Amino acid sequence: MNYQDYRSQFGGAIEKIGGALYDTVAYATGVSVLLNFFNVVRNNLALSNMELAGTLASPKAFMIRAIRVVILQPPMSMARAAAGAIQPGAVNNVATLINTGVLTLTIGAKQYCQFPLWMLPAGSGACGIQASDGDVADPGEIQDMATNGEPDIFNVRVLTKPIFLGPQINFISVLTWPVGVALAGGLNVNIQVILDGDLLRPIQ
Amino acid sequence: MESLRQYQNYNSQFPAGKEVIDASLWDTLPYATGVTVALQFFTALRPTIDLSNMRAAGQLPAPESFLVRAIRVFFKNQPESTATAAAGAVQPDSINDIFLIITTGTLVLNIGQKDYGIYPLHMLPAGGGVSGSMCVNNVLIAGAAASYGQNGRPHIRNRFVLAIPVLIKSQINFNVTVTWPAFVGPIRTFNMCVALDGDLIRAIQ
Repeated sequence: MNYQDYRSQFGGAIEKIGGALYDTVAYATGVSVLLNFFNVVRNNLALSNMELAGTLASPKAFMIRAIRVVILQPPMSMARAAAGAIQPGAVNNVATLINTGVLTLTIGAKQYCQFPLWMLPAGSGACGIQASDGDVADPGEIQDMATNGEPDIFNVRVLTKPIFLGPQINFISVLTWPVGVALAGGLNVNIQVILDGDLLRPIQ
Repeated sequence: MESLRQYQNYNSQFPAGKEVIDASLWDTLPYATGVTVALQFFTALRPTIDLSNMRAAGQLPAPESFLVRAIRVFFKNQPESTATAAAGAVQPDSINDIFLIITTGTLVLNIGQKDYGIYPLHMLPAGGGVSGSMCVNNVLIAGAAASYGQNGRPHIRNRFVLAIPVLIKSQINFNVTVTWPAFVGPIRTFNMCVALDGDLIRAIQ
């Protein structure tokens, strides 16, 4: 029997499409100092599109062209802080997470990227206008919303040197903070790491 | 071992060349309100990676070298709540903090014994930070405000890219010094980060 006559992949050839690999992990307020991405298969596509944990199924490969960190921070309403004090809320959540967070991408056994989160803007997110009215007794309240950088598709850190992820090579992205960040209202926030690039896969 | 050549059989670095990756070098120091008139970056190791990724003080360990393509200054700022100033007065808020620091600060990149760039801080936008909006409700007659400031729009295209890149070779001393003619007085002390974006040239392993 000639098995080649029954192949599910066309002649071993590869096609290339624009793609993105993404993974989402919850930041636990005041607790998380390390989050691993791409090392686990999640239970729905809203969280991740990884088919295997920590590797690409052969013969798939991926050329990483850009890295983004999306902080899925909803708008907040908070009590106003005393004059001269730090104002908790959505803006402060994102500010504190990106001020001290660092992303490291390891492929195989070698580190290929290490950037502070403020250098890896999301390039996406809700964009809008807020207005409020109300004579709220002193100290008053604030409403705010925030994203990691301007939510603009051109606001993405494109790597000057793309990085190639071969099939079945282990890779992981790790976010670290020196201490846990306490988030406004004690609410956890989801963080998503996105690798933009070229997906190489079999022609079928 | 009979000869030095035989040690090559055990080399932990692949001898056939170097690899180049996109990278950044960064260092962070606090701007102390009402005190600081000079800060020197990249000359010391910091305890945590969020503060700096320098692995040797004031130089790159061999065989690494770095082609500097852009310089940025980011403030690890947080939003502030303030009372509104009287009409006609300067509003002392988070944006004014940044304004004070970037309009009188000057950055100098020194490599070896020579300066390779002298720039006012406002010419070196962060290209990152929080984007969003804030509004306030309060019954105070004097008013209440909330604000967040950063060095320029938080957009990756908003970086000062050097017209001519500068190469920092391995084991050559370098530093960045920021000076102010007089101290300024932001509401709080906060951290200031200088980052160099460019190409890291390193060993293949």
